[in-house]
Amino acid sequence: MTPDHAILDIQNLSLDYVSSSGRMHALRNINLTVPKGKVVGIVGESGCGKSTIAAASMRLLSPNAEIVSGSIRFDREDILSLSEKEIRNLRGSDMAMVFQDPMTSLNPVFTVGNLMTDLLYRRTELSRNEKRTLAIEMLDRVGISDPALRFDQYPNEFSGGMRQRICIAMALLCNPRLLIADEPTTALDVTMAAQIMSLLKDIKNDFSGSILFISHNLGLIAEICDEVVVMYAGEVVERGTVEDIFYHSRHPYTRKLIECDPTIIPESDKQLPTIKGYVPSLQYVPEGCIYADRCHEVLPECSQVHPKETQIDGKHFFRCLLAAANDHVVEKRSPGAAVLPGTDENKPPAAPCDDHLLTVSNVNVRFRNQGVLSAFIRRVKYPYIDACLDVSLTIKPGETYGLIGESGSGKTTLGLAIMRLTEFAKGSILFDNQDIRELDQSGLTEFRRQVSMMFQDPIASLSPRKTIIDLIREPFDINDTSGVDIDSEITRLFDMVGLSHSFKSRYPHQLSGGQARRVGVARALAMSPKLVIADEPTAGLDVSIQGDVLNLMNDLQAQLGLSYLIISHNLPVVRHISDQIGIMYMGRLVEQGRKKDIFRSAAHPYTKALLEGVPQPDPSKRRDNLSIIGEIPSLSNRPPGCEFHTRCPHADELCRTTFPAPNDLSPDHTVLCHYPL
Amino acid sequence: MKPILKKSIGITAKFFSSLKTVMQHPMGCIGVLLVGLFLFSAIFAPIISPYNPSDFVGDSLAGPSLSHPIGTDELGRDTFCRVIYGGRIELVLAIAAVSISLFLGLVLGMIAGYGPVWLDNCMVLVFDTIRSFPSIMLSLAILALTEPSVIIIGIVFIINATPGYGRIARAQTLSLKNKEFILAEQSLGAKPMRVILHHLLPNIIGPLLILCAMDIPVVVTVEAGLSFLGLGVLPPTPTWGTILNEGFSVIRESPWPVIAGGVPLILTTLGFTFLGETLRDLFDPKLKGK
Amino acid sequence: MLFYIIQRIGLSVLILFLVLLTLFALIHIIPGDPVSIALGPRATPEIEARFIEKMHLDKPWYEQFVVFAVGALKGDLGEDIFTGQKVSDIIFSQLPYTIALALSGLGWAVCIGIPLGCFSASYPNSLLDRMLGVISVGTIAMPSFVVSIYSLLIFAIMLNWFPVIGAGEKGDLIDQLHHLVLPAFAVGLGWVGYLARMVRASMLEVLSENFIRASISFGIPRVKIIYLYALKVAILPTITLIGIGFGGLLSGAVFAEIIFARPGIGKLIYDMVEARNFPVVQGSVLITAFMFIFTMLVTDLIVAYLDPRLRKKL
Repeated sequence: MTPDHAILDIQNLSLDYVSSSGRMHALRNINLTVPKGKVVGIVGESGCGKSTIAAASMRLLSPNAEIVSGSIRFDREDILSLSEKEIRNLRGSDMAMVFQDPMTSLNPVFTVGNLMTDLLYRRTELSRNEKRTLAIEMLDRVGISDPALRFDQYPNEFSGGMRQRICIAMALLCNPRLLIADEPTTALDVTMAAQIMSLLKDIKNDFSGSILFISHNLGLIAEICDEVVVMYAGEVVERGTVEDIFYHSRHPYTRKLIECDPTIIPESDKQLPTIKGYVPSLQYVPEGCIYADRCHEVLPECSQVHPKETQIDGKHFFRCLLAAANDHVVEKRSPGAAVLPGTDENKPPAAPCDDHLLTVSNVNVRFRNQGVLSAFIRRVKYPYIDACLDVSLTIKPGETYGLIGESGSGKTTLGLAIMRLTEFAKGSILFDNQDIRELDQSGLTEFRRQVSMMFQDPIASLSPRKTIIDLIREPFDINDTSGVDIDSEITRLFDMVGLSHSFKSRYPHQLSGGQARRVGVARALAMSPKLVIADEPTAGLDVSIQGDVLNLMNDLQAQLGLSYLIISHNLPVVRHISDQIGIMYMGRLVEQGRKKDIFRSAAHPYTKALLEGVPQPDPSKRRDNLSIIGEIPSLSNRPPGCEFHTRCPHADELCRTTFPAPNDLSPDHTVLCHYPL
Repeated sequence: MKPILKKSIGITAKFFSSLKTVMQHPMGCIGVLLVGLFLFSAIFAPIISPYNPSDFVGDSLAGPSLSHPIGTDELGRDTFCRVIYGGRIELVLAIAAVSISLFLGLVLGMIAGYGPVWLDNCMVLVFDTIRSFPSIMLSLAILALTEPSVIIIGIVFIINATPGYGRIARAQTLSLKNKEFILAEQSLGAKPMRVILHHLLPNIIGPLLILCAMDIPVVVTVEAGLSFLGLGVLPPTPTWGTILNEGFSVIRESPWPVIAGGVPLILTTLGFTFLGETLRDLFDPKLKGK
Repeated sequence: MLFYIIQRIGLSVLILFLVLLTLFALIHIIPGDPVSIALGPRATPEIEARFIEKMHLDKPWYEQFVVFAVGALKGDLGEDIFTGQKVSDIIFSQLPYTIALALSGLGWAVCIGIPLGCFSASYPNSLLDRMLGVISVGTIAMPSFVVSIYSLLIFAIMLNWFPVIGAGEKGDLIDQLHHLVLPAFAVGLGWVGYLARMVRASMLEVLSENFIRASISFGIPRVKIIYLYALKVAILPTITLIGIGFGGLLSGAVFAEIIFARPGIGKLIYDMVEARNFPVVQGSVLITAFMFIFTMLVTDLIVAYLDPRLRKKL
């Protein structure tokens, strides 16, 4: 590739972040080109420098960033030597960016129309009306219905998905030659993200410019990109065409990363693949290969020699001594190797046991959303929103129940209700045949000794001013533990979850997400509970670490005979560990059944959409049509009939008027749908 | 004994390391020096001052001289001594008034934040009512009915300041009580008292203590302001307010008494404000602008 | 939105009611005989008897309160026991002076403080920003009555640029303005620093928001980003703060009036406290509290109107 055809050409770029605690070598010798009319993806785990490249390309770096060497050329112009005015002229008109979080990317005190027409300030030949027309056309183009009406609304009147569409419309308004999309779907729910991806693919087809697409998700990269750059800890470890990367990858990190993607792990693997260790500190960069510490194929010389960028087959580059020395292509992956959906039943069903550890029947949880007075004045008859409606489920000893739903589906609320951390209006929850509503304060303490909960954010769920050892000691202080040698118990817990004893006197904010998660597991298991409720146990963790946590939970289940209720928005993540799966939509369990029922014969259209909404790290499996469209209706204004009918492709008159009765497809498999698939 | 010793060494070390961080900022450095000067002169007043503050030791309204560094007042008392002794009263008053307001505000605010909604609404209403009197007006209304004294000044400050502490304690409690780590403690079976004392309080008290540091000069100002009006501490007790009050009546004859009463007030206020601002920037960047 | 306005006005009325109750209760809470507390040693038995009659102290307390509250709502704040003048007449003759002083103090502070804050925020941590920071903290730290005394000492007594006492000849606008300069300077000085710091802090917060980064990435000119895109968001908390700070402004005005011997509510209350004339004090405090509550109501409504996030939710 000659740089003449490149719209963006980054050569040998090195960049440091300077702070009072030292210099972070955030980017080192980056080479990257974005050819005209192509989509180039940058993939890597958090902190690898993907977003820094995007910011550097538009010179939007934070003031403490310092470019050490290298060049960034945009259509032959040297970005780094342009004046402030010249770079401003490029921004917006020649290159534009879509940011990760649509909720905070739009100025809240201006109307969408105002924000959009302001972007056209350079086109002085246009009248106000012409600008308005252009903006409305663009809103229509990105799929905003009633664009002329919504033109005068403020950003807070749009949902997250809509706002991301507006951001895309704004980026495309001046017809840029390069569009940078920095994790454009990460902040969105699965079904919303699928719609934005579909829009981006649509744009790719009739957009003449190039796209730089940044994501941590290999599936998304495989779906849209022509070329892929793999980054690790501030370096480009491998780059090439999408086929090179997904089928003929040479770098051990790339191969391991693909292997860790939960969607392609065969279900029979109870032990998930992981990458050992952690990303090194970028303050003191090792002399040798940056990945040597974590590499499963490390050679003795890897820790001394920094690998040069090696080129094979035209566009395929990598930095690896082993791959450079071995000429043979290592285990070529064949297209279509991914395995989802489909399953092979491996584990014998849990020992027949009719005793239920936990029985949730017809539980309703509601929150007041209007005060007494305001409801009275506005004549609102029902001033509540229902977070959970008629939820029933059972968990047997030693079993794992996976509860899946998008944000706002009520899955976390249900977890809190089971812990009696929130009151429920109707129904009953029995634990060990004891109604938890009847517990007094001492009974409640005893109950919470047997049931424990792990919260979503591993760091924020630890009291910030306590040391790790105090935090792990806490369960022993709360409960009556006379006769227990607390110090040896704490040592046992540290060893059990694989936490280094050197962390004892640290504070939560000094830990990484994975380490803090282990502290959470230790606290949850300190009192040897019978049931653990785990809310998004892998949230915020990189794919290479996710497996670690799930493996740990799996091992502990085998050792201690625990039951789990795992709450997640991500179906593939819980697939390996769950025995039963329940799908929640707008506070209701719309489908539940054994794992094979859900993955092999999903009966609810929503379940099917969730399964199909998961992008797979395989360019041959690109999704070409969307299974559901539209947005989740507001909880305070539930649609009549089947609540999913507004988004369901199969909905008919019956669905629009009549609420479906639970439909038992088999003793274990229930679905809330008139026409199960 | 040993763990206590260890803990106190730990706290001392922490104090000195924080002090060092504060001193690295120019504003913090000035703040620490001014606050140090205030504390030192107040504590060691009998040693520093050359005369007794109520003795008539010189000419009436003399200017600065070697024997009277900032001159004398109308009755020939040494102004320097009176300023130093005045600082003593200010310090005791400020510490007492601020700690009582902090305690009351913290307890009321946490009850409002953690307790039932109706109680919260009632307390907020009471706080808002007190806050909707311009503070000086409420003070004057109280003083219109009472005899001037140091105690009344303290009470006036406490009435005016407690709702402020209460509001912050309440807001912090409300925002913390649904945080995951509080839910996590509850899910481990921790009882309410434990949650409040071990997990809420340590996270609320920090910003409030910084606010306390910045309120010490407010007490001093309230004292000086009311005493200046002749409604607070009455002469001949030396406080900065009474010095200003006596000085203002002779402002055309000699500017020195007024300057002597005002400058320490400004320096103390500057010192505590600089210190408080630095602490806030260093330890609690989010509270800025409250 | 309409509901919010009604709710907010309702709350203000409720607070006003509690303020009335507090002022009414004051003479009863403080230990001792209400009559001698309220009138002090100067009172003769006849005055005491008149006080009891006018304040209905011989009736049960709830009846007293009803009479007091109903009167206050009708604009009847009672009678000056010593002279027999109507309290409301006394107050309203003084009120314009205080309002003029407070508004002119606030006005110059807003005109200087807000641009300074914007300027500091657009060059954060520059030498000028640091200097402005120290100066604004300095002006905040200076108690306003000390500023009044010192400006009187320096500009009126030593330099003789401005008159020392009074509010100027009635009808002579120039003279009145001339008398207003020093008090307004003293009242507003602390506010310059206060506003500059508030605006700077809230501008810096807004400037670090994602939507500002997005605007930069779209090539919007810098001046437009700072003075339109960011300021329109950052000004909202500042408006609220101006409302809350209005009470402090009145305190400054009280001292300025006393020190510069200007007529006004502050001077009135001070004189009446000295004279132990409680009904006038009670009335004046009620009027200022009412002004303060009204200001907070208005600023809250302005913010709700300007902020679409609030406007739609309400």
